[in-house]
Amino acid sequence: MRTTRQDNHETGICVSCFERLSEYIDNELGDSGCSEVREHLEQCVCCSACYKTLKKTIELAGCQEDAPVPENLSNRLKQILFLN
Amino acid sequence: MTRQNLDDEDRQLIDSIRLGERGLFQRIVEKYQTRIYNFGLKICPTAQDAEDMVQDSFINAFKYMKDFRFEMTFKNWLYVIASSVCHKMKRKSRFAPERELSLEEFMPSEKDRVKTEPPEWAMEPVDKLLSRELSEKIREAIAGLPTDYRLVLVLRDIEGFSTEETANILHITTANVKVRLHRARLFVRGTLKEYYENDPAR
Repeated sequence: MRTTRQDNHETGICVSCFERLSEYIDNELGDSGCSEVREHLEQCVCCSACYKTLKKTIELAGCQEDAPVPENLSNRLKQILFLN
Repeated sequence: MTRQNLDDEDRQLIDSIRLGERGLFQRIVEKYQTRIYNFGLKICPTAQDAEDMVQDSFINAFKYMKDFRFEMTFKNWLYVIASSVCHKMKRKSRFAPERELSLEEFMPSEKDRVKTEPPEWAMEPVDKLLSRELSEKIREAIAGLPTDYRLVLVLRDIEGFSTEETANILHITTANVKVRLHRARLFVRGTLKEYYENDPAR
């Protein structure tokens, strides 16, 4: 059962996984590091939850809508750059 | 238009501007002002500061264009300038207080460790979660980051630069980018976790 496994889990492995979650998400770990983290995530409920919430956070942060440039700023840039 | 096409277009524009067609700089401004302004909105404390930053960045780009040697793309160079202007503005007290974020402060608590499943919000598709209130929460979380962490997170996760490009833009090592990025993401994740835990009906 996953929760029992969690109770017995070595914290050191969790810390090592936790430290590398962003690199894992970004595909920046080498093959062996990637396998280590993947295997650990399959076994550890707590790290798996961290991974899923972190991944969702990154997706949400990347979905922010752009604000239009205020007209006065565009006009100011034209004046400063081209009239002087 | 592919990235290569965009870079080629910039190169042609810059070559023409250097040959005296300074009016073409308007095309550069039109092309990049929305990106740089929105970058500024996420980095600077106020919209007015963001406007000032955009103005200073384009003035500097115009002024120093003669020294630009295409060691990186023009777009990336513009972000080098914008980030540097932000750093100079950082001296003003309105920026979030500077501190280092430690990994330990984001480690799962004992309470988290007894939970068996990820929270519901982590499993929902993004378009189902996104709302004005949530976007505001994310914006606040990013604004609450120390500037050095905020710059890395915005460049990587919002502006879409790679680790290496971000390192070059900020003149820091790729290892430093990775460390700051991970902690900044965990910081924002903490805010979202709190947001959902405070009202499980969300």
